[in-house]
Amino acid sequence: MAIVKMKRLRLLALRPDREELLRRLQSLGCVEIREPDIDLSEPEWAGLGKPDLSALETAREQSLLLSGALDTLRRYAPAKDGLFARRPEVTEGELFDEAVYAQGLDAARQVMEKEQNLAAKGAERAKLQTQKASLEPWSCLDAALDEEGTATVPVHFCSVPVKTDFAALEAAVDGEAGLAQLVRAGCDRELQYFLLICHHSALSACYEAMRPFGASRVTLRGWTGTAAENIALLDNRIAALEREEAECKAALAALGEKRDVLRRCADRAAQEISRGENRARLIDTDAAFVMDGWLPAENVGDVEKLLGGFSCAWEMADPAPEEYPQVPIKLKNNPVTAPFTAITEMYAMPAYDTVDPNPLMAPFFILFFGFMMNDIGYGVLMALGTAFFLAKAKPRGGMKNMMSMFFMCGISSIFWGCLTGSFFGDFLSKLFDLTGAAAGVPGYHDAAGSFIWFWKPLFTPINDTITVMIGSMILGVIQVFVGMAVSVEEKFRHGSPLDAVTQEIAWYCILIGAALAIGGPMIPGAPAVLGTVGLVVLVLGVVLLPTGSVIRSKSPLGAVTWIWDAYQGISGYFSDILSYLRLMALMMAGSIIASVFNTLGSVFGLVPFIIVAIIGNTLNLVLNLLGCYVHTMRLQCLEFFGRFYQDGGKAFRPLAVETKYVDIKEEI
Amino acid sequence: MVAFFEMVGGQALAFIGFALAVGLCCIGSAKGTGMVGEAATGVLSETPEHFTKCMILQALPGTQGLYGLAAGFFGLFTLGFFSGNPAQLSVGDGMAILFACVPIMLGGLLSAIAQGRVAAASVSAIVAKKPDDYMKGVIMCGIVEFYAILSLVGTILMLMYAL
Repeated sequence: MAIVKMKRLRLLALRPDREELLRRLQSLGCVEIREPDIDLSEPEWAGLGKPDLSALETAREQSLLLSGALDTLRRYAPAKDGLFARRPEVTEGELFDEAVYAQGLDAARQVMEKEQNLAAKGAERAKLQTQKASLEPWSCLDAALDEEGTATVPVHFCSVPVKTDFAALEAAVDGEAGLAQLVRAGCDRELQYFLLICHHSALSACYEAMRPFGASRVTLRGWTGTAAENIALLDNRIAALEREEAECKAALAALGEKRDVLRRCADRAAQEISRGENRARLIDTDAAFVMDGWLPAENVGDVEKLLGGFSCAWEMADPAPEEYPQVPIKLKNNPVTAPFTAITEMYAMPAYDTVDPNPLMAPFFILFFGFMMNDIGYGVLMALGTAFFLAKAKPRGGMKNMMSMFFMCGISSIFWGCLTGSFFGDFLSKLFDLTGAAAGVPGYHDAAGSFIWFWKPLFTPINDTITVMIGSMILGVIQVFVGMAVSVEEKFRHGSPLDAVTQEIAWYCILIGAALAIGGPMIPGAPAVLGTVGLVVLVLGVVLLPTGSVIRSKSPLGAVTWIWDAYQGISGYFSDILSYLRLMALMMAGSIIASVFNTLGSVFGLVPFIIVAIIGNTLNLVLNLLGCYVHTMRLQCLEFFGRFYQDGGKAFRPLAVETKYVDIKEEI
Repeated sequence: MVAFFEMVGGQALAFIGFALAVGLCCIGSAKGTGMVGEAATGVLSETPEHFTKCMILQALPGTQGLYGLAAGFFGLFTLGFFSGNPAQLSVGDGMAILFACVPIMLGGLLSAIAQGRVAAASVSAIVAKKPDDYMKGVIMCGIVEFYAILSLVGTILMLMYAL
C-alpha cells in the first residue's frame, strides 16, 4: 500500500565469483544493478575497466537463432495454443539446464538449415520455371534449339511484338527476295516467335525488311534438342524439386514437436541476455569488481544471506534526499489495489517518498466505472469473462492486472445496475411486452402496465437526468476534495504546512463556504445561521489565499499575483468538476443505445428482437467497455492526480528471471 | 417562406432530419473506415498476422454510421411510424425534429473522419512498429468516440422532448 523503501547497495567482490553471484542474484530477483556514476575515461579511474561483453553477444546471437527458429515453426507448424493456453511449468534448474539448452540450439540450427534449404529449392524452382516459360513458345517446332542451318541456308530464331500482323511480315520478307521462309512457332504475352530460314545472300535484306515490324533475333544459347524435349526435362526437375520442398516442409512440420524445447531455450537465452546487460553495468579491476544498485529494504536480509556466502564487502544505505530522483520505484499493494498499477504505470510512476496513488484511486475507479456501465447483464458478462480467463489462462503481469481490474469493475456495474434496474438495457421489459407476460411477472410496472424491473429502480438515467447530473458532480467534488486532502497531508509531511493552509485549505474554505452561503438558504427548513457560517468560511478562505501569495513572494507585491492564483483556481475547479459530467453522459449513452437496439428488433416480432438485441447489446458492451475505461482513466489521471500526484519515478527493474513462454515453479 | 414550409409540411422536415442523420453519419463512417482500411493494407502486406488488430481499429470509426441509424430509427419510432399511426406534425414540430438531428449529423460525420485519421495513424505507426501497444491506439480512438456519443445523446434527448 505504499512506495517501498529502497536501500542503495555498493558491493565489492572477487572476479572469479562474478558469474555465480550474478546467477544467484538473478534467481533472488530483488536487486537492480545501475551504472555507477563515474567517468571511466578520466585518468584517476585508469585502472578500472568494463567486463568483457562477448558472453552477452553470444547470448544475443543465440536468442536471435532461437526466435528465428520459432518464427519459422510458426509458419510451417502453427502452434495450437488457443486463447486459454497455459504455459508449461519448469524449475529454475531445468530452465538453466545446459543439456536442454544445447539440444534446443541444435534443434534451432536444424530448423534454420531446413528453412534455408527450402528457400534455396524455391529459388531454383523459380529459375527453372522462368526457363520453361521462355521455351514454351517454341514447343510446337520439331527443330532443335541449337539448329543453325547450313552455311548457305542459315536458320535464325526471331521474335516480333505480339500485335504485329504476321501475314504482313511474311509478305514483306517474301516480296524482298523470295529466298526466305518464316515458320511461326508460338507466342507469349509480349512477343510472337518464328524461325527465319533464308539463303545467306538474302539474310541482311530480310532483316532490313523485318525491321519496321520490330523483329529481333532470339538467343537460345546452351540448349540442345527440341524445346518439347527440354520442357519435359525441366518439368521432371521441377516436379522433383516440388517433392523435395514438400519433404522439407514436412520435416519442418515434424520439427514442430521441438517447439517447447525451443521456447524454453528462448526464455533461457533471454535470462542470459538480461544477466549480460547487468554484467555490463559492473566495473572491473584486475581481481575484483564493483556493483552499484538498489534493493527494497524488506529484502535486505535475503541479500545479506546470499552475499554472506561469498568473500565480498558491501554497504547498504538509505538514499539521501538528493538521491531521491534516482531511486527506482516499487509499489506494494494488496490484491484489490495492485491491479491499478497498470494504470499508474501507463501514466507515470510516482516520485520516491511521495504517495502511492493505487489505493487512493482504486475505490474511485471501480465506483466510476460501474456508474458509467450500470448494467447487471454487462456486469455479469464482464465478471464471468474475466474470472474465467483468470482461472483458465493464469495470465501474469499486465494482463493479470487488467483482468482483475475489469472483474472488480464488472461487480461494480452489477451494483449500479441493481440501482437503475438495467439488464441489457430494457431487455426484460421489451421481452415481457412482446410475449405478453408483463402482467404476470411480479415486480415494478409503469403506468401503461409494462414490466420495468423486479423492484422499483432508485433512479434511471433517462428519466432522472437531472438527478444523475447532480450526482455525477457530487462524486466529482468528493474525488477532488480527497485529492486535495492527500496534497495537504503530503505538504504537512514534507514540512510546508503554510502552503497547505494557504492553498488547499483556503480553497476548501472558499468552495465549502460559497456552497453554504449560496445553497444554505435554498434548503427549506435549514437554520438561517447556515448561510452566515458559509459567508464567514468563504471570507476566511478569501483572506488566506492572498496571504499565502504575499508570504511566498516575500513582498507585498505578491498580493497582485494572488489574483492570478484565484482566477486559475476558480477556472480549474470549475472545469474539473464539470468534467465529471462525463459520468452522466456515458451512463445515459449506454442505456439509450441499449434501449434503441432492444426497440429496433421488437418492432418486427420476437425472433428478430432476440437476434437484434444480442448483436446490438454485444456491440454496446464493447463500446461501453472502451468508453468507460478511457473516461474513468481520464478522470483519475487528469482531475484526480492533478490535485496531488508527483510523478517522475522510474519503475524498479531488478535483475530477475523473467520468462515469456514458461512459468517458474519452486524447486522441491 | 411560411407558405413554402406549410406546403412542405412538418413530416417532410422531420424526414429531412432523419435522412441527413443517417446519410451524413454513414458518409463519415465510410470515409473513416476507408482511411483505416487503406493504411491497414500496407501493414498487412508485410505482417498478415496483425489482421485482427487492424480490423478492430478499422471498425472503430464505423460506429458513427450506426449512431446515425439509431438516431433516425429512434426518431421514426417516437413519431409512431412503426405502430402504424404516425403523429401529425406541425411545421414547428418538424423544424424541432430537424434541428434535434443536427448534433448527430455533424458530430457523427466529423468525428468519424477525425477518428478515422487517428485509427489510420495507429495502424501505420503503432501496429506496424510496436504491435503490442496497439491498445493505446484504440484508447486514443476512444477519446474521439466520446464526442460521437455525446452527439447521439444530445440528439436522442432532444427527440424525446421534441413532441
